[in-house]
Amino acid sequence: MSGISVTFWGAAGQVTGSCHLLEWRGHQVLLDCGMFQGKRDESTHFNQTMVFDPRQLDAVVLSHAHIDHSGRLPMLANRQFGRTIYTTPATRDLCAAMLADSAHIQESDFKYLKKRKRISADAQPLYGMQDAVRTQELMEAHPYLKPFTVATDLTVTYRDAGHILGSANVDVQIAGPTPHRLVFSGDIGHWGQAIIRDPESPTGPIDTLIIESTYATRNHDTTIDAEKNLGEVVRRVAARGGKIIVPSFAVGRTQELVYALHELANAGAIPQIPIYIDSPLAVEATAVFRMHPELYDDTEALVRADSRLFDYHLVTYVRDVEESKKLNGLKGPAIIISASGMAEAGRILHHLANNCDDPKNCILIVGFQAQYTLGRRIQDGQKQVTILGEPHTVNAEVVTIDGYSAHAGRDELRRWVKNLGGPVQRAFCVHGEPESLVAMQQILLEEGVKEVHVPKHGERFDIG
Amino acid sequence: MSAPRTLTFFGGAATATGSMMLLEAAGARVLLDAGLFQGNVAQTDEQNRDLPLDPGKVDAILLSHGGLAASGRAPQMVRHGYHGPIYATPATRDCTAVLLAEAALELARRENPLFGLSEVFATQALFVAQPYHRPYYLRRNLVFEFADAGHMLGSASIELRTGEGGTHRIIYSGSVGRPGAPLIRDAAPPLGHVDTLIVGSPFAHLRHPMFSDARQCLGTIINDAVTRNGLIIVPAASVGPVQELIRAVQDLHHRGVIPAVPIWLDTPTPVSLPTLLRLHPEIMQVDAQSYLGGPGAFDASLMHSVTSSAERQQIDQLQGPAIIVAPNETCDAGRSAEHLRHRLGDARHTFLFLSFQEDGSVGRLLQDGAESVDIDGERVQRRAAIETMTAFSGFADGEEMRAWVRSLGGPIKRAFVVHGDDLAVSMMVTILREEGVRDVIVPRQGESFPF
Repeated sequence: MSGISVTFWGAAGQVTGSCHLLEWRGHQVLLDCGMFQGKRDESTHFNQTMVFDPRQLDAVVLSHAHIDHSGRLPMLANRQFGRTIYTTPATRDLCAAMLADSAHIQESDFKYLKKRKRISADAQPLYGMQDAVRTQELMEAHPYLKPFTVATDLTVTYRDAGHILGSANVDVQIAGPTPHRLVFSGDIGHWGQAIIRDPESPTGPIDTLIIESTYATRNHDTTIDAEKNLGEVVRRVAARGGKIIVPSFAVGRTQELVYALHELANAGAIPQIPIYIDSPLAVEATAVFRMHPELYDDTEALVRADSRLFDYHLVTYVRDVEESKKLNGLKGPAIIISASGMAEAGRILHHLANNCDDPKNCILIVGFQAQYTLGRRIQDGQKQVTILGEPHTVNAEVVTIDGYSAHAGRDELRRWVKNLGGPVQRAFCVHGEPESLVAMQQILLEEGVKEVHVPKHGERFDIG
Repeated sequence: MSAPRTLTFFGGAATATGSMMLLEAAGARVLLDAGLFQGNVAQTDEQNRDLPLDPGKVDAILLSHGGLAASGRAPQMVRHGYHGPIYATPATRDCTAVLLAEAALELARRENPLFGLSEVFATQALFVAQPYHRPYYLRRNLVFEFADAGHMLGSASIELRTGEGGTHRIIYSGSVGRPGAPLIRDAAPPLGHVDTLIVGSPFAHLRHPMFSDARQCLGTIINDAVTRNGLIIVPAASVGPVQELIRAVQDLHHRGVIPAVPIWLDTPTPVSLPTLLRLHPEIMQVDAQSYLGGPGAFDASLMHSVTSSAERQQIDQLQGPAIIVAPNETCDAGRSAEHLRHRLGDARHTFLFLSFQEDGSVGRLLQDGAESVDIDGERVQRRAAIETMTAFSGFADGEEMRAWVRSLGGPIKRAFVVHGDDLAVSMMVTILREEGVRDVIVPRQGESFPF
C-alpha cells in the first residue's frame, strides 16, 4: 500500500459539480472544482459546502473550462488557496471569460434577489469578480502531451479530449515504490466536431480510470447528418422570410454553428442571409478560438482553406447592449444565435419573446435541454410559455437537431475505452445520471475491466 | 564540480530589436527572448535568418513580452528544430498568438519568407503559460519567476536563481514601462540583492513628458488634424504600447477635448484589443479592473477593426479626420509602409511615431528630418507632418529607469546593458554607476561571460 486514495466530491451519481480529491502520502490534489447546476436549492447547498480545506491542497488540475468543471475555482481563491491551478492554455483563456461571466451573473442575481427581499441582506454570492481575477493569477497553463510536475512525486500529462477547445484528459503518474497511473477522462468529445480535433485516448496499462458517463445510454446523430438537417431548416425558413432563433451555448456550440453555416453557404446549400451572434460571452469565446489555431483539426477542409474562420462576411458579432436591442426590429430572413443554451437567462429570452408568436419563424434547438428549463418546455411543444414574466404563445416552428453534441455517445465512449490499448485495473464511473452510470459500468465490464465502481457523493476509495 | 555558468549576448546588444541571450546554468541552456530584428528589410532579413545557435540544443525559451522584438524569431527557432517549452505569461502567450500570426501574414507577401503560419501554430503549441510571481523550476538548481515590467499586456521582468539553494540571482529587466500608465500595472521588479542584472533601456537618454501633458499634446495634434481634415497614421504593432495611446484618445473624447475621431486598427489582427484585455484582467491596474462591469478598461468606443479586404480598400480611400494604427513600427514593411507611400506626400496628414526607430529604417530617416525617402525604389517627397511622442512608447525614460534600478532594493554586483543605441546605452551605464554598481558591462554581439 502506497496510501493513495480518491474521494468523489462532485459529479458522483449526478452530472454536474465535477470534483475529485486525490490523496497520497500526505499530499492532496483536486481534479476539477466544478459548480453544481440544476434545481436551485439542492445545488446551492452543494455549492456552498466545501468539505475539504483549500489551504491543504497542493494543487488543482483542471480538465476543461465548462462551469460544471471550473465554476467553483474562485471559491478556492477566496478561501486562501494560493497554490497553482493547472490548465491548458485555451482552458485558461476560456476560464477568463467564463468565470468573469459567472461572477457577474452571481453578483447581479444577488443584487436582484436582495432588492426583492427574497434573500437576507447579509447573504453573499459564492464569489465575486475579484475572486475570478484572483483565480486567473493562479493558473499555469501547459500544452498537450508535455508532462509537467504538479506536486511531490506527481506528474501530469494532458491529452486532447476533443470535447471543447482546450479540453483534456488528465494522465496522472504518481512515483513511489509502487508507481500508480490514474487517468481522469474529463469530458470525452463527439467525433467529427467542427474545428477541434477528435478525442485521443491514453495508451498503456492504467491502474485507476475515472471516466465520464454522460451519454452512455444512447448515440447521437453524426455531425454530417446534423449539418444536412441544419441546411434544410435554414433553406425552408429563409424561403418563407422567417427568422431562426437558436439558443446556444456561448462556448463551443456557437463557434461550431458559425463554422457549419459558413460551410453550407460556401457550398451554396443555404442562401446568403445575415447571421447574428448576440452574446458577449460568445464574442469572447470566439476570440479565444481565434487565439488558439494550434488546436484546430487541420484535416477539416474549411480549417485548411480559410485562415479567417470566424470572420465569415454574413456573420455579425454583437457585444453592445444597444446593438443587441436593434435586432428587435430585424426583418427576416435572418439567423440569431444567442445564449444561454437552455434559454434560462441572457439575451436569448428577448429574442424568443419577440419572435415566438410568428409562425414564419423557427426556434432551433441544437443542444441538451435540461428538465424545467424554458428551452425544454419549447422543445417539448408547449404552446403557452412565460418569458421574462410575460405570457407568450409559441406559434413558431420548433425544430431539434441532434448531432451537435460535444459529448461522446454510447459507441464513442466504448471506442475511447477500446483505444486505451492497455489493461485497466479499476474504473470509476462519474458524470452521468444514474442510468447512464450503470450503462457505463456495463460497457467497462464488457471491455474487460474487472473492478468497476459507481461512487456515491463523498465516497472514498483506497486505490494503491 | 558544478557545470560552467555563462551568459552569451546575441541580438539586442547594441540594438533595441532582436533581443536574445543564452544562459547556461545547472546543466540547462535557456534562451532569454527570441526577438526579431526590425528595421531596414534587406539588412534585418539577413540577421533574422542567421540563427546564432543550434535551436535543437536549447532546452527552454523564456519570453519577456509578446512584441516581435522579443518573440518574433521563436517560429524561426521552431522551424529549425526547437521543440522544447516556451515559457511566457498567459497574456504574452495570447499577444504572440496575435502578433506572430500578423507577422507571418505580412512575411507571406515576400519571397522565401522567414516563417509561415504553420510555424507560428507549431510555436503556439509549445507555450507554457506561467503567471506572475510563481517560481518555476527548470532544473533542481535553476528556477525562474516573472514580475510585472509595465511595458505592455503580459510584459515581464525575469528573475532567475541558480546554484545550490538558488544563491546566484539574475534579473533580466525585459522592457521596462513607464510608471503611472492608466491601463497596465506598473513595473514591480523582484526585491533583493542582484548578482547579475541584465537591463534593457532604449530610452535611458530621454526625459518623457508626464502622461497628462502628453495627453494634452495629443489632443492638440488630433484637433489640428481635424481642422485640416487629415489622417493621423500611427505606425505601431496592433497589440502593445499603442494600447495606452488609444486609451488616451478615448479619454480625450470622453472629456470633450476632441470630437469623435474614429481609430482604425489597420491590421489582420484576429482579436480586438478590448477583448484581449477582458481575457487578462490580471495585468491591469486595480482601478482599471474595477471597471469590469462596465466599459472602462474595455472601452471599445471610437475603435474599428479592418476585417475584410473590402474594408482595407475603404481605409486606402479614407479621408480624414481619422486615426489609423498600422504595423509595423519602422514603416519599412507592412501596412504602415503602404500608407507612407500613399500619404507621405500630402500635407494634411500626420505620421505619429511612438518610439525612435532603428538606425537605417525609413521611420528613423523621417524622424531625422528627411525631406524625401525611398520606398520600394520610388522617391517620395515628404509633405506630411512627422511627430514622435515617446510618452506612449511603453519604455521608461532615464529617470524612470533610475527609479526602477533603485526599486530592486538590494546591492547589484554586476550589470549588463543591452537594447539601445550608443547614447541610450552610455546613459544607462552612467545611471547604474551613479546608483553604485561598480561592474557595468556593455556586451558586444556574440560575447560570452562566465559567472
